[in-house]
Parts: sequence; structure tokens; C-alpha cells
Amino acid sequence: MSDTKLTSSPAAGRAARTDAKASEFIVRCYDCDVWSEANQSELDAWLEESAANRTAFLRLKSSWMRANRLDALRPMAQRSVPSTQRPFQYGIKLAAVVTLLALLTGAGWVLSQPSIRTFSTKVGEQSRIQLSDGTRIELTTDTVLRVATEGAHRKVWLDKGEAFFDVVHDESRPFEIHALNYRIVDIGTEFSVRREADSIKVVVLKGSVRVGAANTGHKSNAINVTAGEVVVADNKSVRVLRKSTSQIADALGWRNNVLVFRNAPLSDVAAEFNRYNNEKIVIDDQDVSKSIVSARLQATNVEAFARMARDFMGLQIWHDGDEIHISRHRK
Amino acid sequence: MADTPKSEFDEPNAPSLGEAAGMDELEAWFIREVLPLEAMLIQFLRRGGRSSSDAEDLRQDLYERVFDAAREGIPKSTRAFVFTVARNLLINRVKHEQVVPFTSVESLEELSLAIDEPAPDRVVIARQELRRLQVALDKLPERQRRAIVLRKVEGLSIREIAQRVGSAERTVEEHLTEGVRTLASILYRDNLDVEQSG
Repeated sequence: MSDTKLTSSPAAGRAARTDAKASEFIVRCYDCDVWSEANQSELDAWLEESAANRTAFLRLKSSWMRANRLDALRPMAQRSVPSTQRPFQYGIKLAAVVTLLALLTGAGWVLSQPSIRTFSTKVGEQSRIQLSDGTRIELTTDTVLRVATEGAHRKVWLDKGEAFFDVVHDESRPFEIHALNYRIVDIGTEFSVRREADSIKVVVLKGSVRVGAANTGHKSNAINVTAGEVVVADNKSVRVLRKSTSQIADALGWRNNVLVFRNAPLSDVAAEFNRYNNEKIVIDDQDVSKSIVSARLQATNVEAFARMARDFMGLQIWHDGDEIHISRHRK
Repeated sequence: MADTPKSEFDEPNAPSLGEAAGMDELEAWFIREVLPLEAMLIQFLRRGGRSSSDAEDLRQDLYERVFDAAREGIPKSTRAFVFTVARNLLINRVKHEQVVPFTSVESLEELSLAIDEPAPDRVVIARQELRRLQVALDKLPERQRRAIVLRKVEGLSIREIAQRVGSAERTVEEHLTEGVRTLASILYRDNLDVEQSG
């Protein structure tokens, strides 16, 4: 072991100081839990200062990136689920729900409902609405929902996208959100519902909600979800994940036009950005799209994302019409 | 620029002035072609009887000049280009130093030999790279190695590492930043040994 040769002495010369600064950037920015635009600006400025800074950064970054291959040593089971996201599974498999859903698919439950109002946002837009009962709804990008507040049940159908609900609770007139084949019922709460092609996600900020199949009775099969929990449900299963306060805040970051990713595959990050922007990110390499990243970025700032890919992941980026391409080598 | 190649080392087709390279292209070139020469370069720079710190400063100057010069156009033969810049840099340095180390002149002679050495293999198969990384890990001081393994192999965040090993986050951060630097030195300088033994 030749530690003395390998460890650079702190009192060393110019090169050592430059390297110290560069390595700090790499650990702080690239490897920190969240990477911010402020970090990027600071780095950009430092790199612009001199070619010495830039080459020192490139040198340390490239060897640090090479070490990413060490994840091949990681046991297979650990690789797909980062530790912070390992689901706290209640293991509820709603077999009965699935059957019912199959029977009822396409049932015309919204036929000719009176006084249904539609609200929507275009890509990159957000909007806030207040209902007559005081309930507030925030729509994020590319979202469509319909609202009916006059019946015995207040109802919202989330047809597309994601919205945040701050519900004024009324025991006599439950507030329900229908998304996909699920019904989310408010029990005095603030929460968001997101609809994907074949799943829904509910993030509970305050209070609690009940999540169950849309066309069954109120109590049956529905599960209680409280503040700090996230539900991901599709046709096969309902998973409840317990999250920290900051993770919940991050999941709702879009309310302030901020997207937060922790240990997310680059493909997910790109897909999320593409919801918010007309300029679409296209990842050309399979293995690149699997790279894991953490970042905190403005939802509508695709450029910042592209710079992150270039500066921290050493990827090539280029514009082609409405697309930003990302790949290991420019094609 | 005083230290850019001229004289007999100047390749006929390098650098091609006028075709300015984009920053991305330039950085990719630097990582792909210049950094692999570091093992030989640092060996050479150290043998001038200089302290390790001096050699590192020279290396930094060298990279800076090479990078700045390549902005004008990426040279066709990186190897000849880099070693020519190194040679000019050293000649300048020897002129300005009051005491000329005894071995300097001898080292300058060696440069032309270094240029003729076979280029390090650029195509590294994954298995070999992994082995190289494992060897590099073994050479790291214990605290740095532990932090890097938890970060890179287990994929933990700095906070999680701190919890796992019972240190402050700041301390873990220090071990990682030291690790970043040590790893670069090992990977760019000890390559030749690993290749020979593997």
C-alpha cells in the first residue's frame, strides 16, 4: 500500500488547489442528492475562468465516471430499486377489484351529467381554479379534468395529467376524484392525483384520503392513505409507499414549477420534462437512458437539463428541430 | 502562443488551424486522447528531479496549453502534439529556473523516445476495465475506498453513507473528494502496470 504516494498533500501547489476545487464540484454537484441550477452556474463560471480549471475538471470527472462501472459489482436485486425508493408494500392485490374493473370497463358513468365544467392546460401551462365550495385545484402541464359540484357527491374526473387538490371537507357531500378505474375520496385533505396511461399516483400532503375501485361501494376494498404516503395503483395492484416530508414536497415540486429527481433513470427524467415542454428530449442510447441521476430543475427549462447531461454525464447533446437529442456519441 | 508546436516535431497536418472545434468535441477529444498519455507524461515530468508538487503544476500548465491550443483546431496526431508542447514547456522552464536540475537535459532527450512508444490501447473491454477499477480500489486509502464503494457500488447518497459509517456528512464528503483525486491519479498513471499484469 503506497498511501503516501497517492494522497496529495493539501499544502501542495497550484495544480493541487485546482484539483481540490474540481473534486469538490464533482462530489457536491454531481453526487449530491439534488443538483441545482445555482450549482451549475457556479461551475460554469469556474470552468470559464481558465483552461486549467476546465481540464482539471474533465480529468477528475472522467475517471470518476469510469468508476460508475463498479455498479456491476452490485447484487442484481439492489440495482433496479434505489434504497430510498424501496416500496413499503402493503401487498394488497385487489383481485376482486380487477374483476369488477374488467366487467365495468367502458361503462358510461358520466353520461349526460348536467353542469359539468371542463378545465385544461396546454403543454408548459399551469392553472389554478377555485370552486364555489372553496376547494382549490391546481392543474399542471397538459392536464384535462372535469368538475361537477352540484350533486350529492362533488366529483372530479381527471382525464389526463396531474392536479393538486386542497379540498374544503364536507361530511355530507364527499369530494371524489375519478382517475382511470379508481376513486379517491377526500377525508379533509390536501393531495395530488396523477393519471398515466395505465396507472394513477396519489401523493398525500395533509390529512388522508381513501383510494379504491371507482364502481364499488364506499367502504369496500378502499384503503386509507395518510399524509406522507404515496399510492401507485394500476390494474393489478395498489402499492402504498411511505415517504419523508422532503420527498413529498419534492413530488409536489411542480406546483412551484420545479421538478425533483432522486436516483431516477434518465429516461424518466426526460419523460417528465417532455410533459412540460414542446421541445422534446430524445435519448438515443438504451444504456444512457438507464443512467441514474438526481437533480432539481425548473420544469420549463429544458436547456438546464441538457447542460446537466453534458457537464455531469459527459453526454453529447444537439438540437434537431423541436427535439433535443442526447446520446453517448453524436450520431 | 510561445509553447505551441513548431520545429521538427510539427506534424504536417496538425493542428489544422481555422477549423475551430466545438467545446463538446474538444472536451471529448481531451478525455479520449490526451488523458491516456498522463502515465507517460507524469513519469517524464517527475524525472526532471522535480518535486511531485512541481510536476503536478507542470502537468496542469501542459493541459491548459494543450487545451487552449486545440481550440483553434484539434490536432491530427494528439501524441506528437502533446509531447511537443511538453517539450517546449520544459525548455522554457529550464531557461527560467536559476538552478537547472542535472537531469533536465537528459529528460529532454528521452522525449523523442516517448513519442515513439506504442499508444495505450483505446478499446478496453468491460471485463478488463472492471478489473482495472478493482485494482485501483485496492490501492485507495481505506477511508476513501469505503466511501467510494458505498457510493458507487451500493449507490448510497452522501447522507446515507454518513449514517452507515457513523460519520458527519462533511467528513464523508471529504473522503469522497479525496477519493475523486486519488482515483484519477491511479487510473491515469498506473494503467500500464495493470495492463502488463492483467
